[in-house]
Amino acid sequence: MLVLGGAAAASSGLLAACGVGTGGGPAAANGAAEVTGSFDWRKAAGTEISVLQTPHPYQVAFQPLLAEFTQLTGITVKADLVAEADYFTRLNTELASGAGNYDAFMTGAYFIWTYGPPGWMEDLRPWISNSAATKGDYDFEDIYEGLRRSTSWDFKVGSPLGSGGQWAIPWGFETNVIAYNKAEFDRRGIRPAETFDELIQLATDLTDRANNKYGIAFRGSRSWATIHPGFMTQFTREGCKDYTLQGDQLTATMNSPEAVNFTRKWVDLARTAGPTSWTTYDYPDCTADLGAGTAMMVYDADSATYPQNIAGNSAQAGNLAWHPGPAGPDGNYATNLWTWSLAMNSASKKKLAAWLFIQWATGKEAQTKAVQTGKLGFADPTRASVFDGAFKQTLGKFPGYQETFERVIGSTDIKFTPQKQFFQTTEDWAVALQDIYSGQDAKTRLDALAAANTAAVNRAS
Amino acid sequence: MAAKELTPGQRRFSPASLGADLVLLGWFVFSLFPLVWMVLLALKTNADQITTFFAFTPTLKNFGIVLSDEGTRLTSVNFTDALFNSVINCVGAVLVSLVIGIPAAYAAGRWQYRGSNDVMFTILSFRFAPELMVIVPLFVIYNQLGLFDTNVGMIWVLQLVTMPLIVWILRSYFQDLPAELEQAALLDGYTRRRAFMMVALPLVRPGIAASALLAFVFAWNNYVFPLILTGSRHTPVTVAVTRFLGGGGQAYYNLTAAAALIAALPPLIVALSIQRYLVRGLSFGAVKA
Repeated sequence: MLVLGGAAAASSGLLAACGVGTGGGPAAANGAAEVTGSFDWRKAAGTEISVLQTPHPYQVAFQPLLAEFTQLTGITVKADLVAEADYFTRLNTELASGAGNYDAFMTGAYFIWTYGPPGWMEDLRPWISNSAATKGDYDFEDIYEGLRRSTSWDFKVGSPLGSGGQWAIPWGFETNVIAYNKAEFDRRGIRPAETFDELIQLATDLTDRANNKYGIAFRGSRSWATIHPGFMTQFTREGCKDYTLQGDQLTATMNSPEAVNFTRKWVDLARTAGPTSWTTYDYPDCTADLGAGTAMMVYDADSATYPQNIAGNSAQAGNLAWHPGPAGPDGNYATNLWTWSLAMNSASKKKLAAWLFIQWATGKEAQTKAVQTGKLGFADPTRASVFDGAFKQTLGKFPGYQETFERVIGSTDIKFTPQKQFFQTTEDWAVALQDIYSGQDAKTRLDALAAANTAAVNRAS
Repeated sequence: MAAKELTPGQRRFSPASLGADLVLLGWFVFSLFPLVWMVLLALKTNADQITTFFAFTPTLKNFGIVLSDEGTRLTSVNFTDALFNSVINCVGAVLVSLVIGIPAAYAAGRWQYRGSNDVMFTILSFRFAPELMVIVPLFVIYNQLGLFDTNVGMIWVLQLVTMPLIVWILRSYFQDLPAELEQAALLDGYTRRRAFMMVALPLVRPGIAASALLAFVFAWNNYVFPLILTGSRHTPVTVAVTRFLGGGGQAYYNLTAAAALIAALPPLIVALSIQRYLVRGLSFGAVKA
């Protein structure tokens, strides 16, 4: 999950233009072909690699396991952490410089669309398919298909996700669904909403400003990250699309009649049943309100609400439950995802060791251990076998979590059209929501946004 | 009837003075409230950090976590080491700035030559230039020179923060110092160097203390340079504090507040220990202008 980082990613073009990194020169050669012979975990024994990470339950779960990796491979891992708000500023600088200080790093799938084209990321597909570098039982296909597709693209405007290189391996991920205060729902004898109109009514009924309680929390800050969780999920379920391909040009369609109608309802929902300072809300605010008992529902990442139900983490721990959220008019549960993935720096000088680390961390065995021992949980594992095995065993006190996941996973992937101006155009989308919230006409504002975004994404191509 | 004469320090009671006192008290509470809130937050458990305001059962556990192995496991950095790194970086940066900056300030204060103001404004511009503007080239250079994630590298880059402050504040001090004092020393047979060391320097001691402290505090609080130019081995305290924020749905505002309070102690101790010089320095030096 992500709060910030788009600004840093958006500046990468400027850095490349300054002649920094590989932006202006040839990309580093893929290193997979240099690995020959039979597979051996100890092929890079004695190497030390550096990994750039941000504090997160996934990282917390894996930190104690690094000693086991060292024991297995003889490779030591130096993990540097940077706070989430500054993480992509730091990563951007590192990758743009071409310094190769970090061999592997955590990244989100959207960032591939910015970091991939200048050649800053190593294509991992040749590594996966090289039997000398990848153990026979790695089973890449065990990772959910929507996740594999979401981390692959050929960087051509109009090409769908899943075409081109595999730029990162999904490590942990989240679906965007509803988490709600089950204790309060049970007390009132009510159930989660099954349609968007029901959700609006339910959230409005649950709002009691005098007692500092409101119906539903979702993000509203001036950031691209406002669009990707609940908004994009419901936007897609209601049959809306961000762009359509016409010839070789993308046309923004966030101003289609259905999109305008949905956006108007979404903003009205924020106004009548959302947090009073909605335009500043990021995911920690939403989940904190759910944990405090102020918000009755949250429409955001399942993994973000998951820790709030762990004893000792929040006042409402033990009282929360999950639901897929409103289905679309045709009953679809299209769901947008966020995945923290592991990627390799193309400027790394220790690529084999970096790949062995990525392979180990995204493998069945390590992910199972992380699920079983992670202090803050490991929601959600990216492998079907780990979800069905170890993870399900942890869900006893998380009502509806498994059912929700199983309902949406088949239709979960990135619902955005991949394009290189993602961060700027999507932040502009969030600004448009804020403008509508403050009183501007939805149709007029979305028309202006669509015109600007159409120009931006095609200019970039 | 004539009003009774007041003794020094005594004030005449009036509704206006009472009102002024109340306004001052209100301003005092308003100004210090963020600090009070931070202290309260540092004393709360995870469950209390969002749900309570003033009524909660306080705990000192957060300070223990920050300084213990548990904090290290959570953030991958030993907070005590981070404090030590900050001390090394800031003391080193201030000492280097004093060694180079004091003669520079003396020369700038005593002699006017063609372009001297341009030189001074160039030095000042290092302070005002946005750090993000220079960070990428610095990052590249630091990697090439092997200065990335080193204390020497941090001491060097912090000159951009400390040097302009020290040079500009001390230049003003030297300008205020009567040149006749040094001329008298020269007449007595002192060399220029000895006159500087034995006459001018002792007289600007409060200024040196004040500017050094200000430079130390600015260096201590710097965030962008260490964020980009250090890794896990030489992480200073400003970067270490933010690692306690957590991520992925679980924020540790309580641990962050505890870490920030611990991080605020060294500059506070330094300020209190040279308080006598500081008051004189700020009263008589450049700040008076």
